[in-house]
Amino acid sequence: MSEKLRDRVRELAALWGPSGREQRVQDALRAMITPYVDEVRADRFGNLLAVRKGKEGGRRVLLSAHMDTPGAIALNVSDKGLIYLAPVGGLKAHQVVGQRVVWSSGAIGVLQYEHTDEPKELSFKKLFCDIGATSKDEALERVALGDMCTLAGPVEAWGDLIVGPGLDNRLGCAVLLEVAEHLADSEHTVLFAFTAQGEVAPRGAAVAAFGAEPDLALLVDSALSGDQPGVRQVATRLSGGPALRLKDSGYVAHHGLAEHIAAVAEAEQIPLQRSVSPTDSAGWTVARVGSGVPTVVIDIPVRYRGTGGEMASIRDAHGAADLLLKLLGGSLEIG
Amino acid sequence: MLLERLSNACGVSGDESGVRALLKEILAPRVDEMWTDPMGNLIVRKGSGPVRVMLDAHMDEVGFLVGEITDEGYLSLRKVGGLDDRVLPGRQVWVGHRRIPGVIGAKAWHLCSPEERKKVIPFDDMYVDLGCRSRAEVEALGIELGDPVYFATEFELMGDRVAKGKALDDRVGCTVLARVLLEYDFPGITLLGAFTTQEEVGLRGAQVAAYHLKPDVALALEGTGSANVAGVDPFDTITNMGEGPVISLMDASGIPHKRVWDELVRLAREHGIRHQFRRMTAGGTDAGAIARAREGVPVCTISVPCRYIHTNAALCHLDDVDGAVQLVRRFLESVEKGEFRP
Repeated sequence: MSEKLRDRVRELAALWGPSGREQRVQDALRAMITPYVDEVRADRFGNLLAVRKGKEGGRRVLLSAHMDTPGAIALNVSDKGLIYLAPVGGLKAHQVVGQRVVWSSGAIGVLQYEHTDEPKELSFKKLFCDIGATSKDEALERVALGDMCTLAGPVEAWGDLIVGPGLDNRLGCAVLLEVAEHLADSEHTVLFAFTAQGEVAPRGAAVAAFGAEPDLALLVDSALSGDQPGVRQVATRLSGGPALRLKDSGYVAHHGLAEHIAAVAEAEQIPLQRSVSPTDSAGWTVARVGSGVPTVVIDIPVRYRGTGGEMASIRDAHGAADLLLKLLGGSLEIG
Repeated sequence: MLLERLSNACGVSGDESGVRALLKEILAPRVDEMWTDPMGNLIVRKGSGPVRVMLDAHMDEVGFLVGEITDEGYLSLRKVGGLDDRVLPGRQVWVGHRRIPGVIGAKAWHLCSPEERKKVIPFDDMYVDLGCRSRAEVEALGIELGDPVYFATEFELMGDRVAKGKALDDRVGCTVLARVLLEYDFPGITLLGAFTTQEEVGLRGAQVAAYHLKPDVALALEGTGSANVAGVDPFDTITNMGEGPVISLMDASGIPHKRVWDELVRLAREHGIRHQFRRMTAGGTDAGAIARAREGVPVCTISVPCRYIHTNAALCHLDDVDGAVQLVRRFLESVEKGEFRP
């Protein structure tokens, strides 16, 4: 299944969909998952929910992945037709200078920085997007205030690695599709949620969980890999397998569910890393929905997140899909 | 004038009863139903059509609580909501519901070292001077720990069309919402007006109101920062007072629902309502909390630009208030006619 998974990641990563503007991604995912599920609907927040019905006595299991990517929003246009922006999600000015971007209209541009001899502190205030317009009016014909752009560029396969923008978190979306396709008759009702606005706050996952009313939740997200130079306090690496996120800044994995996942991975000989992260995930937002949801986040390690050269291993995504399929194939009575 | 009465009413977050009582009195003749929920939100219903539209404006204002009464007869304060220390010393304040007058004092200029003069006075070094000389005198005034403290600013017009007052954030939104309820009828929809509590301390009232009201679509009505003032680069003005109501682009609490946003822009253009966009992404509004209620609510924020927001005296332009009323009215008509379907 690796070839198809790789193709899916590349296809999904190429889709345009920053936070709050996920419609094109939602449409594509709806078409892709429909053959494998019993019902598909979108909620009013912009989340897509697909349900594969199980059997009497099975559990309601939420598999959730955010489908948006970070981007930037147009706030001002100069007389010369240069667009000044604010980040949508976690883009850092120093990581995106020189990158190409694509706007909702299809206009392309490059991000550049107002010239200075020594940019001590790069910020979005001095960052602009040049779309080749020669005047304010010409720029506004292609990009209106409030329009968003995302990082553009090819998504390439380098052996087992995938490299390009948008891997976070189309990797997670591809994993969910892979599970939907290969899920044999399961006693459990599986609720696939492709969530909106995961790069900001994050917001959509809790709204989706409210509507899905799950007994337990498994979130698949792309996470900072510990083998990127300078990263501290994260023990993961690319190609080491998916990572069981035990704790982060706002969440602690549900103990019983985490132990069960670890036991299944060991029994099935699926490599599983552990991560304790200083950063955030949607875990805390989902765990507190309704009467509470036993929640675990599965990380797929990614180097250089929020750049045009995000790097991940297809083996880790494959491992995540494999692990979820094995989990759904067995009992999920969690202590 | 409605804005005057609402600006002069007092209600820091958690203490909105004065504003709520005033709104009840104003709105009672023109709404079908009215109630207060457990968070203190005032909810009014008008009409009973199939689509439920929530209009939100928060009643609370930024201010202070009495944090300490000193033996010497001074008060130290605790902030409620976001306040800029630079603009606090010397302000006149009202303490408690009986509006006992006081002044925010700080160490005098001629006692400060050259270094101290260059620095913003730390908030903890400020105090309220009530003219009392002992704790006993303060207590004799009936002042207790936890009493609310407000900026002592009386509303007034500067010329014909510019209003000056405290708490324009968000009494200007309350004004827009109240005017829509008083001046127009939309019998084809269920219009739910939510005058919410505790926005300034975390969008708390709106979260509960949206859960409870189950709206199909919502608008949050706000006062927002405006800096088209001396010395500010035109790119950095956020919004321009006097140039029309503001349609949000994105802020730290939320991203407007795209279809609602598109419809508001379309309606503003179609009806010739001068409008503008908020060119900053910091800050938050009740829309952020409403959007996430239950399975999500399509929502966008419409604001009136306010200069010197979150200070003792903000300014707004009455043309912008009128424009906001018209934009909200046109949106409600669009929903009523089925042109916009949530």
